[in-house]
Amino acid sequence: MTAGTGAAPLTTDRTALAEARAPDLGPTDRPSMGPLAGRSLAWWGMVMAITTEAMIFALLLFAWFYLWTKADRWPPPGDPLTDLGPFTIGRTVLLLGSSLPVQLAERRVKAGDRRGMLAWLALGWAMAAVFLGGHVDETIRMWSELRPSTDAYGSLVYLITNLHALHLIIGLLFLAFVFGRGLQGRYTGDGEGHLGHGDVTVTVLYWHFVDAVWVAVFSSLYLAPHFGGPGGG
Amino acid sequence: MTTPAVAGPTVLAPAAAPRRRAASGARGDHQALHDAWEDRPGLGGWIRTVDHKRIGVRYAVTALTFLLIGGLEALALRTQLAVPDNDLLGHDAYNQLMTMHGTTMLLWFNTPMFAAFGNYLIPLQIGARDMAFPRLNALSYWIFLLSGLFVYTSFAVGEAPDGGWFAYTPLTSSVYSPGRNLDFWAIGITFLGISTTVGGINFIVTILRMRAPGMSLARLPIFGWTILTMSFMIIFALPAVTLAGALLEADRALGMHLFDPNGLGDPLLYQHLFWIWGHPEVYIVFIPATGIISTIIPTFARRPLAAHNLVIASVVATGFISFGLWVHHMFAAGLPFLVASFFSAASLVIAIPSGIQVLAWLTTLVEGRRPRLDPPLLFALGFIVTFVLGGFTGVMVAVVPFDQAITDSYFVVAHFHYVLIGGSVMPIMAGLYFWFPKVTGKATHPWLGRAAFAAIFVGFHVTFFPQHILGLMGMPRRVYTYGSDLGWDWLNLLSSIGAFVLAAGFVMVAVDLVLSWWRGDPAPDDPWGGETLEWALPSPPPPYNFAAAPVVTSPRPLWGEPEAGDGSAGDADGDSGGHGDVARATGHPAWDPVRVPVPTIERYEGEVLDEPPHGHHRAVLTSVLDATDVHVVTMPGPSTWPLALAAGVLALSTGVLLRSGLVVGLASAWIAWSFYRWHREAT
Repeated sequence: MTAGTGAAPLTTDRTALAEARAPDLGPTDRPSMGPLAGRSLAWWGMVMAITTEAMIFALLLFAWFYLWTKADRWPPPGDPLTDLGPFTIGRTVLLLGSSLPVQLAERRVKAGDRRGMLAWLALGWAMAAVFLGGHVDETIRMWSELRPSTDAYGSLVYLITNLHALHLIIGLLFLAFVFGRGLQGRYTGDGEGHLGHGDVTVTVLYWHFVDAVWVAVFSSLYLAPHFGGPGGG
Repeated sequence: MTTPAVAGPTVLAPAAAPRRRAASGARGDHQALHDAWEDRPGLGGWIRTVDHKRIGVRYAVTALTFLLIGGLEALALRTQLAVPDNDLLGHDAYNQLMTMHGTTMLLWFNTPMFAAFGNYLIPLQIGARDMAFPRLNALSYWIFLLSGLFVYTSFAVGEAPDGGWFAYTPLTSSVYSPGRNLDFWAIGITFLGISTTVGGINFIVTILRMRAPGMSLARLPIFGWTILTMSFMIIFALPAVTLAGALLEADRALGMHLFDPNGLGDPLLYQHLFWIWGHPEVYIVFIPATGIISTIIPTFARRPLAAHNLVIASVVATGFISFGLWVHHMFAAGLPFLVASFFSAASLVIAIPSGIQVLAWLTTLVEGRRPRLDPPLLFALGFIVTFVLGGFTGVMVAVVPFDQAITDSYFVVAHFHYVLIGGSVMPIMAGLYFWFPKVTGKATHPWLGRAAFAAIFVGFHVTFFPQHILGLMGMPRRVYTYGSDLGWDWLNLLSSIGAFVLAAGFVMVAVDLVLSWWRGDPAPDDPWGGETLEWALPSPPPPYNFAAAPVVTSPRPLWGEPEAGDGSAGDADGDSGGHGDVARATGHPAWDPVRVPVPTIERYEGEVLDEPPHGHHRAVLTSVLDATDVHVVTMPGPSTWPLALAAGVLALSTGVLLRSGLVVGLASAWIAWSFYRWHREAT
């Protein structure tokens, strides 16, 4: 076991490598010689980033319900309810629906179908862009009745919806980046590496997160005040 | 002694291969690896580096500089309080120095100091060549540095933060603190939060995916467990303080009312957000400190850590329980009785895992060989004594009625300095002395470190023990002076004298480390006989760390496994020898470890690990739980863009400070552009 390393022959065959080690290493000690199992580093990094981002939204919604329980009425007298009209429902459906084409885009790139990926990405991008337009429209309509400086209710409505919008804009930039590189034919679809389909996979993961956050924001800021009680009192 | 599984002559390297080869001249043997991993000389290479070791050292030097600054601030405070009715510092200066002392020590020294240890040691201990995200690692450092410079600019413009280190509203609202002081603070901690969060994510992914083949999670060195736990705590807890800072700034800059009771906000919301982070933060700086202690004590006692698995379980349990403690900082805020009771109980419960660890360390020391009292062990012993005392007062302040009696008094000041200096700074000093030879290849001075320990230990207790009594006598926190008729004179003078002795100890450490680095005697590669992989490398390690991937078959890769007769966890029953009972009780044999060789993988699937394709940073990925499924990947190399992006965040923060939409917009565009360029040049 003190043989020099320099003399070791080049071993390329994985079975031979495994067997060379087998007599000495027990089954749990032997690195299996299969191809990469599991996700890329970037995927793991994105999962952790999403975890910490989700905490930010969870804490903001904690602040929302915390101040709600302390208030006599929520929204406070004189403040408008958030808009739960067909327009808001519609754009919510569009945003949540955009997860589907974006997911299909990832499936297409894995299949090596560049055009399919680009088409689905463009559709998902457009659906989310309409949602963002709706957010701007709602803000303009609400501005005359409610401002961030009106009271804590206004502060939180604007903070939470705009923080979500900021995440959406970042997601749209990511999608545009992936679209651009797809247009250049950079993605081979082969493997989790960032030029295989890794970029797309990670972007899609982030996209689903932005959608999932909207479910929580929509439930807390739109549905709950409409159907919840008048306030914690 | 049974050697660990070292396989046939073809693939696996023989005994201590990395070390021996390095000794015979690493450059000649691994020229391609050196070419791929070594930074270019000069300023360009310095700025662009992604070498986790260089970044780790940078983190340490910067954090220790903040320790120096925070220490000078503390000396100013203690000088002011040395005698009654002192007018050395006015109340404004005192408030600013007090606020910045706490903020600096906890946020810009203590937390980043463990990022320094983690950065330097984690890849080495897990047998990796770099962190999972080398460029994010560089970004973490640059943001840490620039955020520190940002917040200290406040002194230059005469508007340093002055609202206490936790900046409670309504004192810190724009009504009562109209200057820019609190803007520097609120923006600064949000800015720094990016660095800490990114660093935490990096540690988690590194530890989960970059471990050497065979290093299952059960074989992860205990320091790795503590960094992993710390990092998970960071990604769950840090958003709270980032949000607290951001919302405080939103109140101040945008006229929001989140913490303003006149606008349906609530100051208590701020306290909740701050302490949802603030209490885990105490453990964020304590848990990795225990990792350092759990590494040093077995090495000096020459036996494995007693109750190894129980200690790991305690570390993880502490991480979980620490999220259920935050309200104990708010016992005096008038919360419902039931809430206070729950948090009081949780605060008592967390003493249990800490107690388990202390007993494990003591058992290891008692059952091991008689250790040499070198500085790392001295600081570790000082830690145990001081931390246990701080733990006693911790149990006291966890009890609601007692806490309500002494809240906001010097008793609390004494308590948290016992747990922070005793529980975190002393282990940091132990770790500095322990790994200094590895980082620099130099030995420290034979007695200066021991003298420094004596000064720090004595100075610490002289400074802070009297503060317990002062607190019980009614001296409140955060007062800039006091009258001579209160009977607090001599205890305060004693405390101030102690502070200068303590400071002299830190100066001795600084002198020792700087002089030893400059012209110390060369140190052997493994001066302590350590158990983890970094000690198998030359000192300082080469830029690529490991020429071949080490194969790990034990939690103590350099110590191998005890002989069957030694009585490991499974077969202790048959051992009637002197230490059999202890072996049974602790799950580990009393056993003097002998250095064993580390098997390595040199070639994998046609990839010769020490001859990478031209200029590529090749590293090995393994699976999350058992570190099998070996896979070779190319890591991102040096880049200017992390610094460029960090500069963008600095510009963004400055824009918010100046209330300039133009600067904010330009900075955001620059950040997006930097991120794009960074990613485009990823390979």
